[in-house]
Amino acid sequence: MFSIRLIKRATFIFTLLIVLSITFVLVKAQDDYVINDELPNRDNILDETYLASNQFTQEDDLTIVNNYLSIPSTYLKIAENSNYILYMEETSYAIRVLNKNDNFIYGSSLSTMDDNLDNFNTTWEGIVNSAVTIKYFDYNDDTGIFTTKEESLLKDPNSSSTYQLINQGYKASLHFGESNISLTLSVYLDDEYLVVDIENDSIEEKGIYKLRSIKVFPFLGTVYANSIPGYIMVPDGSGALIRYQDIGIHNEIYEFRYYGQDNSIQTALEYEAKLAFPVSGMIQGINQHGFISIIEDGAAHASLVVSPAKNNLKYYYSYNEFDYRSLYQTPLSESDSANRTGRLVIEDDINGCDLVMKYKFLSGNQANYVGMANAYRDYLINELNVEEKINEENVKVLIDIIGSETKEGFIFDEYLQMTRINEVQSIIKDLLESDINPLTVYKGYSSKGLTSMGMVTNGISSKLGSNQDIEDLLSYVDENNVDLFFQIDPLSVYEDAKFSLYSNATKRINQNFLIDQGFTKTKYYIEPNSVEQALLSSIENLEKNGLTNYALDSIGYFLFSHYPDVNSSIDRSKVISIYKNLLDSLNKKIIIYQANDYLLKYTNEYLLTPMNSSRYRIYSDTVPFVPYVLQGLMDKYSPYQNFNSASRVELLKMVDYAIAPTYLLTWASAYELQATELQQIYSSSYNTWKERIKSDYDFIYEGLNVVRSASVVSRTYLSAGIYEINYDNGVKLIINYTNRTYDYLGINVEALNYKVVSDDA
Amino acid sequence: MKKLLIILILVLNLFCIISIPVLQAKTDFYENEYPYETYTVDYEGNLTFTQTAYTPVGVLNRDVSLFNPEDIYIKDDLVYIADTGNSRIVVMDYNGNLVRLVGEDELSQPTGVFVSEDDYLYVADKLNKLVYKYDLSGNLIRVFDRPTEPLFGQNSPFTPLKVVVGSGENIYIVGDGSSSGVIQLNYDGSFLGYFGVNLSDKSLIERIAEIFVRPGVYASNIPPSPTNITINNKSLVYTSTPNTTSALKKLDVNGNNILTTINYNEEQNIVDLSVDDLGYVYAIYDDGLIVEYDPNGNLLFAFDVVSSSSNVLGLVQTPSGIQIDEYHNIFVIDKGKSEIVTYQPSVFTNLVHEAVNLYNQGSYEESTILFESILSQNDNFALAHSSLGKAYYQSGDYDLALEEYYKASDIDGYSTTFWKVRDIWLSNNLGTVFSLILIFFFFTYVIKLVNKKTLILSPVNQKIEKLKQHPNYRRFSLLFFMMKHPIDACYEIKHEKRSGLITASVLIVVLFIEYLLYLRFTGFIFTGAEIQIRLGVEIFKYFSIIFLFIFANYLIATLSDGEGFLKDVYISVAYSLAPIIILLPFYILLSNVLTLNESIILQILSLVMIIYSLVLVFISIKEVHNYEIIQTIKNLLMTIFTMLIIALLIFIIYVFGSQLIDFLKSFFKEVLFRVFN
Repeated sequence: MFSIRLIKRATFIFTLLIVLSITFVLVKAQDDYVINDELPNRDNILDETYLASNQFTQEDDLTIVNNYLSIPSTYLKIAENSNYILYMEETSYAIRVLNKNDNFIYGSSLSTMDDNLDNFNTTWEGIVNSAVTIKYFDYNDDTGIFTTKEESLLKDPNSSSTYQLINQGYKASLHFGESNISLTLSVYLDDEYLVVDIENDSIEEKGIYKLRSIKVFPFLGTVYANSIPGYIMVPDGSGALIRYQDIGIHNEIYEFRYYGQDNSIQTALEYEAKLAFPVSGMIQGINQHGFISIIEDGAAHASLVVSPAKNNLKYYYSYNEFDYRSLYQTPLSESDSANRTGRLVIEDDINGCDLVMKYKFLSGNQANYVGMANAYRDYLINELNVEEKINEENVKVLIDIIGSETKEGFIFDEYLQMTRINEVQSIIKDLLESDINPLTVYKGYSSKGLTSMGMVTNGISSKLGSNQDIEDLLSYVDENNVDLFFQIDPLSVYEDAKFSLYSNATKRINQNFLIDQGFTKTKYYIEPNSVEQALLSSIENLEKNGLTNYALDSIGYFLFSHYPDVNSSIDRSKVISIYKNLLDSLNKKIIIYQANDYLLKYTNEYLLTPMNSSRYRIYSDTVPFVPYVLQGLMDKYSPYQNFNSASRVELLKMVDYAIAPTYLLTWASAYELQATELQQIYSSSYNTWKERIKSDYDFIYEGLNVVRSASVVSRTYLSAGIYEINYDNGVKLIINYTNRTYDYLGINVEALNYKVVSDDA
Repeated sequence: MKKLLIILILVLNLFCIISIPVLQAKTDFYENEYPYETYTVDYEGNLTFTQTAYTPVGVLNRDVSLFNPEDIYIKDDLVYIADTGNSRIVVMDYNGNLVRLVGEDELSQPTGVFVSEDDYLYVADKLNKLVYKYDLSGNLIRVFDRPTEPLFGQNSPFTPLKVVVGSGENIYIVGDGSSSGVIQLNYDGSFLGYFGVNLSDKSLIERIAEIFVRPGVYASNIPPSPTNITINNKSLVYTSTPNTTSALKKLDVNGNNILTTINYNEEQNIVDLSVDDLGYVYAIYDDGLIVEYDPNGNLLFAFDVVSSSSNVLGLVQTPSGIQIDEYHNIFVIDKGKSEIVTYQPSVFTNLVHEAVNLYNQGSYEESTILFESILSQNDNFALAHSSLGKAYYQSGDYDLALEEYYKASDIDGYSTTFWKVRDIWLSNNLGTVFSLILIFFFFTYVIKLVNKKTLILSPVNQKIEKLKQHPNYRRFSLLFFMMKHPIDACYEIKHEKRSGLITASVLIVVLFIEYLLYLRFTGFIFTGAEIQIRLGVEIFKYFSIIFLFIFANYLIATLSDGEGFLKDVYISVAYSLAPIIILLPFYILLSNVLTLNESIILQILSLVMIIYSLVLVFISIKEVHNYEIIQTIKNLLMTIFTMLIIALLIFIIYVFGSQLIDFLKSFFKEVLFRVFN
C-alpha cells in the first residue's frame, strides 16, 4: 500500500517536526522568563507561622454562649418593637436591650447581679454605669495649662437629670455637676436599630469649663477578658478582628480616628490606620450574638477607642468618642514650628455636629464579621442611598495610565512623555485582544504633567496627541464598550502648580498652611470652598476636548478642616457637606478613588480597596470586612500591583476578597521618573506588565466572575489557610493558601489555588 | 561707600529664605502595604525604592515563652535560641513547637549559641565566662574556660559573647573587651591565637595632637573589639564591630579582611550578622535596619524593621539577633518583646538571588535573562545593570554593555568597554583618517607651492592683513600674546590700552560658558553620573570668586602702593585665564574619547591649564601694580586673606539678619496671639 519511499519520507518529516517543536519549546522557554508562572518558593516551612499570624483569618471558637446578663429589677421597660425590648435604669440612664430574635441581653453597664463582675474603683464604676461620660478642659490661670478631666453622670452629687418618655424610647436632660455642662440624650428604637442621639443645640456650658468630648454607653457589649469567645471588629484597612484574650496579654488602648486624623488641627502622624467607614462591631458568641455600631452623624469628629482586658480593668470594651473641642499647638516662633512644640490652646467654640449612633443587633449566622458587613451594606443602601451598580459584563481590571510628568532640568523643566494618546489606545487594544476589558483612568495628561498640574486641570496637552488622536481614542473606547475616565484631583496641589496660596490653600488651626512633604516638593490642599471652582473649571476644560467621564482623586479619602482666619473655621463635617452638595449638583459619570462612606453613592466603582489591615499586634485576624460591605454593590479594585512582588498569595486574596487587580502603567520606562516626584514608581512600562496582567487575569477571572452581583453569606475557616466562602447565589469558593493540595469533599483544591464549587452544578 | 552698601544689601536679600513649617510625609497610594519600605542601590550609589524583598511571616515562638533572648542559630530545620533571661537554650522546630531545653542547670547568661557541622551545640555564657559544648540531646560534653597560655595575655579578659566553630573544630570566640581580636581555640581548648584584630581609629587631628601630648591622653589606644561573629561553610569567619569604619569583615585564614562593603548606616552599630552557604551576608543594626549583601559585597536590599509605632506585625522593638536559613527566610530576635519574628523572601528576591548565583558561577548568558527580568521590574537596580554590562561585554555586545555600565555608573566597566569600542572604531577607520590627514597636508603643501609661483592667494592674504589691523583682532590676539609674552602683554594693557573692559568681561563670560560645558559634556568616564547643574548656584560660585578676587586685590593694592587701576587689574586677570579659555574645549573633547588608561593625559592637561593660569595671574599682578616679587607674594596672600574676611563678613550679616527676621516674626506672632486672646 504505502511504498517504502513514502514511509521514509513521512518518517523523516515527522522526525523533523518533532525536533523542531522541541527546539522551539526549549528556545521559547529560555526566552520567556515568566516569573509569575512559577509558584513562589513555597516549599516554605514557615507556612504554619505565616497562616497563624494576624495577616490571615483564624479559627472560630463556636462554643455556645448563654446570657450572662439579666434584666435587674431596677430597670424599667421603656419600649418594645418587633425586634428589641429596651430597658433603662432611672438614675444612670444605663440601658439593657433584649434581642427578641435570640433572647440575648446586651447591657451598657454592669450590675452586681451580672456574671464575672470585676471590682472597679469608683471612677471606673461611674464610667461603666453612666449612660454618658464627658471630658472637659480645666484652665489653670497661673500656669496657663489646660488639664483634661473626665466626668461621668454619676460622679458628682450635684449632677441632676430629668427624663421623659418619647416614641419608642426616652429623652433625658442631663446636667453634669462638676463641670456644669448639660445636654439632652435621646435613646429610642427605630425598626432594626437602637438610636442614640445628642443634639448639638442641647449642649450648654453653663460654667467656666469647656466641653472636650462625649461618649455614650462606652461599655455596651463589654466582655470580661476571654470568658466567652468573640471579637471586636475594627474597620482598619480591609478589616481586623481583636479576639478576646486573657487578662494582660495585650496592654495598649488603641484610638482610631474615623477618616484619618484631622491634620489641620493635630500634628500629622508618621503612620496611621485608615478607617473609611464609621462602623465597628462586637461579637459575644461567634455565629450567635453581636452588634454593629454605625455613626450616622458626627463621624468626622469621632474616634473608635478599643481596649483589651488589662490588669486594672479586666474587660474588653470598644466605644466611639466624639470630640467637641480640640487641644492644638500654636507655635510662637520658628523653632516651635520646626520642633512641633508651641503653646497648647483650645478652640473657642464647640463644633456644631449632632451625635447620632445606630446599633443593630445581630443573631445566629449574622453574628460575625460577614453579617456585620451585610448589615452595614443594608444601611448604606437604605440610609446613604448607595445604589447597586454592577453591570452584567465580565470582571475588569483597572489600569491607571500616567500620561506625563515634569522633571526639573538644566534651565527649563523637562516634559516627560510617558504615555501618548495613541499609546493609550494601543494598551487598551492589546488588552481587549486578550479578552480583558480594562477600566481605564488616564491621568497626568495636561501640559504640566501629573504632579505639577494646578488647581484647574487643563485639557489634554497637544504634545501627547492631536485632537484627531483624542477623537480616535474616544470613538475607539465607545465602539468597544470600554470605560475610560480622566483623572481630576480637585484637592491636592504641589507647590510648583498654579494656584493662589492665600486664597486657595487649606490653612491649619494655627494659621499655617496644611502641607505634606513629598519626595521633591511640598503638597498643599485646596480649601473646601475652592474645590468647587477647581472641579467645575477642570470639567469645563475637559469637556472642550469631548471628555465626559471623570475619576476624582484625593477628595474621597482626605478630609481636613479649614481655618481661613483666626475667627472662622470650616470643620470637617461642614467640608463633608460641601463635597456632597458639589457632587449632588454634578450630573456626570464619575468614579472616586477610595471613597469614604459619605461619597460612596457618587461612585460606580470602588478604587484602591484595601487588602490588608495595619497588622497591629492586638489584632488576631485580618478579615475582608470592607470588601464584603461593597460586595454586590459595586466592583472593587485593588491597590496598585506594581508594588507587590508577583505573589500567588496576593492573587488568592483577590479571589478571597472578590477584588480585581489594579495596575499603574506607562508606555515609557519608569526609569524616566527617577528624579521626579514619582520616583517611588520603579516599574510601570506596559511592555513589562502585559504578560503579568494577562496571567493575573487568567487566574482570578473565574473566581471573580461568578460572584459579581452576589453577596457573601458566610466565610468559614476549614483549616489553617483553607477557607470556604458561600455566596447567596449558591456559589461556593474554596481558597487554599497552603502549599499542599486540600481535599474538599472529594474535590482537590491545589496548593495556592482556589476552586469554584457551584451548588447548581 | 554708598555703592558698597547697595551691594551688601543686595547680597543680603539673596540670602533671605522664607521658611515653611514642615509636617511629616503621609502615606499615599504609591506604596506597598507593609510597614516598611525596602531599598536597593541605584546608579548613584544611593538607596532607592524597590519591591518588598522580605515580607513578614509571623512570630515563631507562639507557644514557648522566652525572656530577653540574645542569639539564634538554625541547622537542619531546628531553631536554637539563646534564651538569655531564662538561662537556657531553647530548641524548637519551624512550627514553633518546643523540641528540648538545654543547659538549664549550668547556664547563667547564655549570649551565644552555635551548632557545628558535626552536630555539637556550643554555648557562650557571658556571666559564667565559659563556653559549653553539648551534644544534640543536651548532654554536657565539656567546658572551655579561660586559656592559660601566656600568649593569651595576663590581663586579657575572657568573657565569651558569641561563639562559632569551624572545620577541624577550631573554636572562634568573640569576647567582651577582647581588643586583640577573635579568640581562637583548638578543639581541646588550647589557645591558638588572636584573629582579625581591628585597627584603632583615630582622626588625623588626634594623631597630630598626639605628637605634642603624651600617649593615652586622647581616646585610648585600645581598638574596639568585634561584637559579633558568624562563619560560613568554608570556615571563613565574618565579624562585625561597633564604632568603626569597616564594620563588617570577612576574615581569611590570616585574619585579613577580604570583603569590602559599603556601610549605608554609619551612625549605627551592627547588632548581629548571619551568612549562608553561598556567602550572602545579612546584618541587623541596632536601629532596626536589616541589610543583605551578595557574596561580592554588593548591597542587595535594605529595610528598617524598627519604627516609632512598633506594635505592628513585621516591626520589632529591640533587635538583638538575626539568622537566615537555607531558604533565605530571616529570623530576627526582638529582645524587648522576647520574640522571634520571621520574614520570607518575595518572588522578586528569589529572582535576584538566582541571577546573582548564575552570574557568580560565570553563567553570564543565563544570568542576562534574569537580570533583564529584574530590570523590567525595577529599572533602578544598579547591580543588575552592572552585571548585565559585564555579561554583554563577555558576549561581545559592547554597545549594550556601554549602556548598562552607564546606567550603573560603573566607570571601570564603562572605561574598559569604551576602550574596546574605540579600538574597534580605530581599527576600522584609522586607515581612512590617516588618508584624509595626508591628503589635507598634501593639499596645503600644493597650495603653498602654487601660491609662491602664482600668488593666487594674495587677495585673501590682503584681507587677512587688513583684518589684523582691526582693534577687535588686536584685542583677541592679546589672548595668545598673553600666553607667550605675559609681561609685554600687561604693559600693553596698562599703558597702551590694548584691550578694554568689554572684551575682558566677554572673556570672563566665555570662560563661564566653557565651564558650564565642562560640567555638562565632560566624558562620563571622568565625571561619573549625570550631574544636575543648578544654574543659579554655578553662577554664584564662579562670578563671586572672580570678582571677589579682583576687588580684594585692588583694595589691598591701593593700600600698598600698587600702581594699577581697578580696570587694569580686571583686564589683566581676565586675560590671565587665557590658558584655561583656550585649552578647556580641548579638555572637554579629549575627555570624550579617552579611557581611564589614558587619564594621565587629561591630568597633565588640567595641571598645565591651571598652573599656567596661576603663573599668569601672578605676573599680571606684579606688572600691573609694578611690584617686586616679594611684594607680589605679599599682595596675593593678603588678597586671599581679604577674600576670606569679606566672605566671613557676608556670612555674619546673613546669620545676624536671619536671626533678626526670626525674632521679628515671632514677636509679631506673639503680639497677634495676645491681641486675639
